[in-house]
Amino acid sequence: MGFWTFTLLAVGGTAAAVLLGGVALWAGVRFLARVDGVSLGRGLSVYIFAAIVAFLGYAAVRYILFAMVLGPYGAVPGRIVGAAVAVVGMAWAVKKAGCGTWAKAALALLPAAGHAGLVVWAASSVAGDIREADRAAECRHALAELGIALARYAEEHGGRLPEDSVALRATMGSDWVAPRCPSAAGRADGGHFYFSGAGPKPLNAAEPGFARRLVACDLRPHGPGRNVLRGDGWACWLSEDQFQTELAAPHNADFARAFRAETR
Amino acid sequence: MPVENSRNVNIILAVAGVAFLLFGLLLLYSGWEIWRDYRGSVSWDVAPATVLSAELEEHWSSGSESRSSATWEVVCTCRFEADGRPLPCTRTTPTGDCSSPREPHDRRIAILDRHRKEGTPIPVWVNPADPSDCFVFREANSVWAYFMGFGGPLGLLGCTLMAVPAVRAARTGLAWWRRRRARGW
Repeated sequence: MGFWTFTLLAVGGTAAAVLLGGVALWAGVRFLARVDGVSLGRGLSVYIFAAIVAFLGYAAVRYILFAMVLGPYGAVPGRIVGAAVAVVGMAWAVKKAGCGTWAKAALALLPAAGHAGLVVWAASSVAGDIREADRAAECRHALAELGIALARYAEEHGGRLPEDSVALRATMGSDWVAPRCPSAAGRADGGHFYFSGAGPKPLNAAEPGFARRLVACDLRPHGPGRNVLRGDGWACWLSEDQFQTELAAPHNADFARAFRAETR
Repeated sequence: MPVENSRNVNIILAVAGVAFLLFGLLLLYSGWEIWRDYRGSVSWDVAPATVLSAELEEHWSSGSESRSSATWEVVCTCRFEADGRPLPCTRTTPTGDCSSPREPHDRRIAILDRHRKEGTPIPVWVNPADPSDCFVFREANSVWAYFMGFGGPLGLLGCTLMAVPAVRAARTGLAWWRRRRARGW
């Protein structure tokens, strides 16, 4: 995307959002609160003022007051109280703009608050997608670290892979921490499924074709797919269809059986 | 305010508004470009690589003797295998690594040095579409946040400065139209 396309989208998007919000506020003041003599321009300027008041109120409560006093425990109450402060701030701004009473201001605010809610919902769902993609990337990195530890174990044990993380820790050292998926906080399995081999056929890194085989994967999907670790130490993301195709491959038959038994 | 003065003030406000808006947008765009490069690697593969060398280089801007104007850069060479052929990886971060302060660079060089001395592989991020496109640490240069943090308010200031003469002109035009309507066409 070039500079001018970016400019067009940024300016156009912001202008459209502000214009729609201003019209919603003007309609609320004019037709719900029945306050006469309010122009569309005044509706726009009051909407911008109310949005700034709401944003500053939310940010002060959520990121300064609650984050500083309660730390990580302040996230949820900070969001709730911050949203309440933002709504009261918007109502105050509308009341100051000439709506008279708090009840009239709240009534006038309804359409604009709905519009602001939609904008916030769209922004937070985009932010949620971004955070989930980041967690999936961190999880892939953790799988690659697991692959490096497995390769070291295999090197010291004639190609054989460890049965579990306890055996792996014995090689890596007592201070070694098994890499975990960031979405698996508090879960004992670490969010990853690791396959060391089936009974008489334990996995061996020296076997031909080992590089293509699946060694580990996410227990639960990240969005519409999941991360996998192959024998050559590469960690990559596969869509759920690609993952099922991989499981159906003959060289992954044992892995697929064990994975299905684990996730049944 | 006399009409001439008011017109001059309007022109000054409009020109300053355009300048602030363009500068703010330029900052926003620069920040967005850095962030986009960082985000672009979110779906890349991760592969084990061997660290061959890692050094911390110090740069000074030309003509400056001050230590505070120095920037640091981690110069490293790693090697990994893609489809059976060895490939080099010399990029430290997705958005370029020459920056200040020194602390993040010290942390990165310590990690690379540890892997080089122990001979253990380090995970590197590899573009699955073009494996020669790769880097070691998926960390964004924080300058994008500063660019966007300054660019947004500057752009808004520019819009506000431009809006003042526009509103004045609209009011003048509206008043003229009302007078004209009152007098009759």
